[in-house]
Parts: sequence; C-alpha cells; structure tokens
Amino acid sequence: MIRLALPGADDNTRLEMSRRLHRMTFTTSLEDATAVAVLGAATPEWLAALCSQCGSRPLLVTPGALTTVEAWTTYRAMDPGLHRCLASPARSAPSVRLMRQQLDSGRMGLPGLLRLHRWQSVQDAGPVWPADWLCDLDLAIWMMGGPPDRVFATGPVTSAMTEAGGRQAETPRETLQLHCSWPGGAMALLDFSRRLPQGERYYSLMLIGSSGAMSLDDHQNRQLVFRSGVAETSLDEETIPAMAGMLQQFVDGVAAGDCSCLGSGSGHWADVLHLSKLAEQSATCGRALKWQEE
Amino acid sequence: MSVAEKPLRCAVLSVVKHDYVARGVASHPRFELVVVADDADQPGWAHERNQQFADEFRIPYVRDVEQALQSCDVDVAIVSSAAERHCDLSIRAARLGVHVIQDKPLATRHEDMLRLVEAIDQSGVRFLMWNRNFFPAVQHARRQIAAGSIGTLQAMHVDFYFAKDAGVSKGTRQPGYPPLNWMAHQIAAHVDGSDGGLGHDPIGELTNEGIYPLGYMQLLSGRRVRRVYARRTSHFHQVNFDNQVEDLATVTLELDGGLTGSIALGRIGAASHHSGGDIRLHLLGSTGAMVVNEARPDVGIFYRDQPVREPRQRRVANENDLLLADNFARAVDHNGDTIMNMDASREIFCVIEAALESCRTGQPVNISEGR
Repeated sequence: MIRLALPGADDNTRLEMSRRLHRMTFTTSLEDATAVAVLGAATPEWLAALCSQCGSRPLLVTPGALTTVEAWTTYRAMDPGLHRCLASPARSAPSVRLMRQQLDSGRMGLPGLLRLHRWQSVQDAGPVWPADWLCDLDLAIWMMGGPPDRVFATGPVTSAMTEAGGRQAETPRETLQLHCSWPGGAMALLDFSRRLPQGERYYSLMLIGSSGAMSLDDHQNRQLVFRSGVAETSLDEETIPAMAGMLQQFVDGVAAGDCSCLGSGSGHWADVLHLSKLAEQSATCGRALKWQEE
Repeated sequence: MSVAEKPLRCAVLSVVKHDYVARGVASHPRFELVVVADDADQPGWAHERNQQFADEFRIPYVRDVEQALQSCDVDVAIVSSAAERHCDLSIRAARLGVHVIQDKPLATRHEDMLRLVEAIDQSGVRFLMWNRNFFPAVQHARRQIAAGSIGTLQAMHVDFYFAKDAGVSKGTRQPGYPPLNWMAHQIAAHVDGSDGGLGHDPIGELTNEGIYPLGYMQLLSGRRVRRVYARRTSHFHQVNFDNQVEDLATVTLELDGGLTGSIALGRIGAASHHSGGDIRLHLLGSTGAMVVNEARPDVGIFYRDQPVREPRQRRVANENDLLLADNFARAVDHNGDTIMNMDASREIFCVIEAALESCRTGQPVNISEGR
C-alpha cells in the first residue's frame, strides 16, 4: 500500500483526494511516506529542502508548483537518478481523458487540427507564462503525438525568456496566439488571453481528426442562473477530478515502478519549454520558426 | 409606382452550382426571376441544370447571355456558375448596366478579379457578394460590439467547419490509381449541394469558404487585414489530396490597430458533427469577451429511425437570404453600398491570396493597399 504525502496541501484538498483515491493511504509524515506529491506553488528553497528530504522516494511536482525561474532551475537541477515526476493535472481531467481515449481508439483517425482557447482574468503579478499555459502546450504536444516542426506566434513583445529556467517572474504576458504545424500537415491554433474581467474564465478544446471530431467547450457546458434580474452562467469545475486522476496514476505508477504514463519524462517538458521559448521568439521577430533552426 | 416599389427583374446567369443564391434572392418580394441564361457552348449537363431551374420557376431558359440581359428588361444578374466563370459573367452583366449579385468565390485568378473590379467601378452598378453576415448570431455579435459590451475589440477567432463529405476518404484508394477528377466529383456532388468548388480548376476550402469567416471579421471589426500566416492540408478527402487543394486550413491574422485574429476552417467530413458543422466566434475585447455559436437559435429534432445524416439541430429564424436581398435592393434604390460590396470582396480575395502564399512560403505575408 502506497503511503502518500501531500506537503503544502490544504485540508480541503486532502479531504477531496481521500474520497477518491484507491490503493493508498495518506500520511502527513514525510518520513513515513513512500511517495510525495506537491500540488501547489512552492518556493525554490522549500522545494530544494523537500527534494533533499525525499531522497530516493518518488516525488511528483506539477507545473503550478514551479512559479519562478528559480523553482524551475531547482527542479531541473535535481539528480536525474532520483525518481522525479513533473506532471500536468490537465491530462487527467475527465474530459481530456475521454478525448484521449477516443483518439487512442482510432475513431478520430489521424489528428488534423487542435484548437484551444484559454481566457483568464487580468493578472497583477506572476510568471510570464502561467502554469496553465504550459500545461496546454503539454496537452497539444501530447494529443498531436509530438512537438511541431514549425511555430508562429503573435502577441505583444515581452522580454526574452532566460535560458536557465525558461521562465521569468516579470510582467505577465497578457495575450498570445500560437500557430503550430506538424510534418504531414496537422496544425494547432492556441489562443491565450489574460484580459477577462476579474473572476472570469473560459476554456475550449477541439480536436478534429481525419474521421471524427471532439469538442470540449465551456460555452456548451455552462448552466444558466437567474438572479438579480440578469441571467448568468455557472460552470462546474474539473479541477478536483483532474487532480485525483493524476494522483491515482502516480500512486499506481509508483506501485508498478513506472510513472511514464504521466508523461513526466524530462525530455517531454524540455519540449514544452522549448515550444514556449520559440513562441516568444516568433512573437518578437515576427517570423515563423522551425523547431530546430539550422 | 415609386423606385422603391419597382420590382427588380433578375436574370440567373448559370445556376449549375448550388442554387441557393438565386433562391435566396427570389425569397424577397422585390425580386422577380424572369430568365435563366447561359452561354450556348456550355456542356449538356449545365444546360440540363439551367433548364430544370427555369422550369421550376416557370421562366424561360435562353442559351445566350447577352440576348437575355438585353431583351428581358433585366435589372439584376445573379451569377452561380462554375467558379472560374464568375468574373466573366459578372463583367458582361456590368458592362450592360446590370447590377450583380455573385456567388463566392469572387474570382479564381488575380487578373480576373482586377478586371471585375474595373468593370464594376466603371459601370457604376451595384455589386453584392453573397455572404452570411445577416445570420442572427452574427448580427447579435455586431450589436453587442457596437454597444460596447466588451469594450474595444482586440481579438477575433472564427471556427468555420462544414461537416460534409467530399467523396471517398483520403487514403482509401489503392496506390497507382489515377487521381480523382475534380470536375467529375463536383458534378456528382450537386445532388447534396456540396458542389461549391464546381469548376475545371480545383479550389481548396480557403478559396471556397474563406469569404465567410473573413466576412464576419470585416463586419465586426471594420478593420483591414495587414498580415497573415497560414497553413493548409488535405486531411480528409481523396479528391482534395489528388488535386492538391486543401480541405483544412488555419490562418493567423494581424489587422489594423493591433487587432489580431485566427481562422480555422475546413470540410471536415459528415461524421464530425451532428448537424452539418460547427461555426463559432470567439471575440475578445478590452473589457470583456463573447463566445458566439453561429448556428443559434436552433431546435433539436430527434426521432426513432432518424437517418444518420439528418441534422439533429435545425437553425430557425434565419433571414440571411431575405436581409441580403433587402440590403441589395436598398443599395440599388439609393445608389448606396451593399453589405459586401466590390471593395470588401476584393479585400477578402487579397487576404485569401496572401494566405495561400503564406502556405507556400511557410512565412507570414504582408498585405499592401491596392494589392
């Protein structure tokens, strides 16, 4: 039985996870844990200390924990011989799991177009690229079977991203349109915006294959609420089920000695960071860039 | 009878493609279809289709375009020929002082487009490119933007997918088979109205459908496109692959004033949507945003043994045809502009042309004034 520690998690998160996870028990003691997962933001110092305490025990970190370039540097400097996982909860959202199942079944045929919109509220501070956006890049690479060979981006020019950690805690990027293409003709359009009024958000993901199409859309999934004389909409969250799905995969992977299903290989996240870097470069220079420039 | 009440007599110049333009115009009480006409040297199947349409409307079919335009007291020419003949027929009508309502695409060649622009300009006749800008959801979006509901428009994204088949799926033919003949396929596709690409020259979905999402962007923003980056592929249909024209395309656009946008369009196969396709607008403004389902309002219809291909969601309250025709009638009456006049049509043509060039070069393409 895996004993899982969630350092830094709040009581509500622990309670929700305890209702959903199988084949494991929770522990608040790091010494007692056989696996550790960090779900929230982490300072680089805290993360480094945690890694040291974990030793050889499996440690899962989400991109949301790595909110600064220093945190990314700390993570990437970890001993590659240790069992470290960087995983995106977005892959485990019930809707995304269903879409991935359909894709894997062959019913959709070959992926041809991925279209994604992520609209969020204005941010006063935070990383240039929020974790959500990086998780969406991860999703695009994962769904389309690998990184694109050509990238074009348009959006306000920001400071170039650093080499070391790949992210800067400067003025958050407000918008970006990313246009990717793959060998064989597949394409992706990703639209990111942080200009919605405070408290608002919107997400949609569409994947069109050669023999079918799938659509996940907040527009479709909103419920009507009538109050105060103005109709509003409300949307159920997938955050808790997504987190639970990711943790279950982690627990099962630790038990089996293989966490590759989480897509946690360091090469993959290197691709995600490279894509974000190419996007910034393309938006700056105004040209489409190849994945590997000659 | 005042000018505004005078019926507008229409000649349908070749109705060999889908006939919704002519039918749409005829739905307005001001317009009267009086003759169908085409050139005598057209193939037999074209004459047959023209004759069938003429018979349905109980009007003559004349195998002489100029004779029909000159002898039938025609005010308006409605052009729904094969794509590569659009400009020629429209020019001939304009030179005889006849107003023009034309099906898309505007042209298939740049030089034809220029000749048409000149002919319309010199003749002073009214011109309307048939479009979708009066669909209720699009007009709703326009009103919201005009009212400032989302502030200043900053980004527009349009998804425009027709869930229609175009023959056999890509990859289902044996290696070594000869390529599928484009024209033969389009002639066969007439039965379900998916023959928008009818013509000897293959045209991809950017050329065929691009006018619609670009028309929305034009209507909602009023801004010109300055640069595009595009990619295209034939992903679904063997006929597109064999003829090297796309059935799926994506375009990133940069417009005046820092406005940006994107278009994803295609003919994605009948199985990919329950009701003919997904058309959606995502609009971002300085103080808010909108997500618009262009198909609404609609009604869901489901019943036992319903045919698989029958749409489950049916559009209602769509007066696009009537309003387009009305818009044209007012333009004729008052010598004013139509909702998609020659200038607007030319601009859209140039954007599509630049997008196709971007597909070839793999780099963004600037669009200059007067292209």
